Amino acid sequence: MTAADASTVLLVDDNVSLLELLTNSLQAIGGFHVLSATDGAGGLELATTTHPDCIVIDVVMPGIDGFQLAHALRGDPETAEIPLVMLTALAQEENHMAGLFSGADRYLVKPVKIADLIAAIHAAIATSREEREKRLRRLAEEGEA
Amino acid sequence: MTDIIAQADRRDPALEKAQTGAMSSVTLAERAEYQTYERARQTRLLSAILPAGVLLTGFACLVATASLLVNPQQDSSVWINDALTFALAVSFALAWVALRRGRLATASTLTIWTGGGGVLLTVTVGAFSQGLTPLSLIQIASLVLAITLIGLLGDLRAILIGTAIINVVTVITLLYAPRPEALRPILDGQIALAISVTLTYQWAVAAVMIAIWFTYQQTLRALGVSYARAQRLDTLKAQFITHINHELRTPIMTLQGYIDYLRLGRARLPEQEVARSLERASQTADTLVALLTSVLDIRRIEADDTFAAEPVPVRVALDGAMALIDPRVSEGGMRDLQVTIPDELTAWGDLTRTQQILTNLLSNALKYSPPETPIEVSARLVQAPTVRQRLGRRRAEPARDQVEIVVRDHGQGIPPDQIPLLFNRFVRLPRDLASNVAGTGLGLYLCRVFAEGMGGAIHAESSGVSGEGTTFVLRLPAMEASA
Repeated sequence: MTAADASTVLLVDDNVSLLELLTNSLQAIGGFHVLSATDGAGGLELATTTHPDCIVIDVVMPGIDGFQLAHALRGDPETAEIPLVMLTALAQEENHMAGLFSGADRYLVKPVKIADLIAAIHAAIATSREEREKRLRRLAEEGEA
Repeated sequence: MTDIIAQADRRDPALEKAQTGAMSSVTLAERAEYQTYERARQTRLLSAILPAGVLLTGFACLVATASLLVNPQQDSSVWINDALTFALAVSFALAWVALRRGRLATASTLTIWTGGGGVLLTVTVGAFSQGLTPLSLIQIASLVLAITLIGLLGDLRAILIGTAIINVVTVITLLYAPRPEALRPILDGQIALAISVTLTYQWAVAAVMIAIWFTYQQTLRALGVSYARAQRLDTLKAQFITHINHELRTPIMTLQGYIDYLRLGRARLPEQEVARSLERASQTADTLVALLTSVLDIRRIEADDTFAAEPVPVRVALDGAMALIDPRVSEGGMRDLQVTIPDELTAWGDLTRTQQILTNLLSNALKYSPPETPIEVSARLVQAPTVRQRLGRRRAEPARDQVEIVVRDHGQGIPPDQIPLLFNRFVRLPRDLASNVAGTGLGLYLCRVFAEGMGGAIHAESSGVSGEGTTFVLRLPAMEASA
């Protein structure tokens, strides 16, 4: 088991069935330590208090949605560096761009295989701050172009 | 999505009213749509009329100028006619410029006054300067051309006012224009007849133009209403596809996730966890099937909505619905279900469809009310009003006994202004979109179609106040024997 396998992942999704499945899968197959929240406010609170190694966020949720949550996390120095993976059913291109602009390192459209989700979490954790800033600059330039 | 659209709906009162000329149900957007058609029609008409008018009057100007150059000693009436011709040419040219600049109203008004007024003045000046010769009498008959032009470009008011003005000018001309000595015996004896026949012809043409104007306006309204509603339907369909796409992805991922979970983790998962995961996967598959079934139901009932009516014991229908979705054992725990239905109460319709309606209503009550609140289902026989009672009431009031089934929850309720949207297909209310409540936006539309197909009706009542909940009232024809 590698060091990454022992990472803590915070899952934020309002779909209880999917949340339960992902929690079990990431623990049993990915070897992660998993925390979970069923809405944006709960996710923000857990992220601030536990500083997980990666956060997996659904987008469509009552109250604070995934985009707002990502903005809030990136705007708080305590959580700004935590890798973010968006896992959502919003499949349109504009949603994809909104997700990346809000600060997500990866934007995954459901359905996603468990193995692919685990790989995306590892990749997000491996993303450095410099790489993240470089990617955001590139996105901004493409948007202006 | 709506209503939206085979048109928009199979029976569309607004469209029917538009076709019969009633305007109250036509929305501003629909009115704007058919006004666009009308503007396009007038633009095309003027694009044909004005160049022809400019060319004709321009040519007449050239001839008049040449004539005056050759023989300047002309009668004053010739000078007046030539001046009129120049004025008409200039007026037509101005109308053409207005049309090219997009000033349709100005172009139309100028054309009506130039064409109608030009014909009128030419005929009048000719008759008063040269007398009522056979030629001038024929020209008076040609005044109907002015009425035709007004009918093509103007509205009802313009036709009526224009025809009245032409009537007055016709009468004045026939009565007071000088009569040649040779024709005086004939004209003096028949002038009253000439006036009445001429006015009759003018009003006959006006009546035809009014009829054309009315039918054309009705056609435009129907087209505008249909087009605007087709556009709304397209929008709703696009929203529906996006919505269904979104609704399908999460259960598909859950199902796929359980397969991955069991496949990748089978070596290390305890048997109990495997069994539980299989059960969860099965439930998710059921959710997917229900979602797809409701979408397919729409296509099926729109293709064939026929059924054989039969006695429907209300209690049996409710038991059938509860076999599919029992509010007493929902995800939130045991629900208090209060049922008040007389055992012998029997409706006249289709058992399966009645069960589907009740399933939908129970499912909604579960989804939109807290687990600790009760759900009430009651039913009763509603006696048909007597003939005396029906007198003075709405004609649509049912004449036979009815079974009334009421499903009430104590949830967040529905804002009253959103209630009319509830039974349209593909519509989801703002509260659905802002929450995690799953749905297709089809359930209540199916309820309405099923209820109406059985000769019944369904409506909802809610104050929109959280805790007061929503009451759905389903009415079906009662079986005659139970009345």
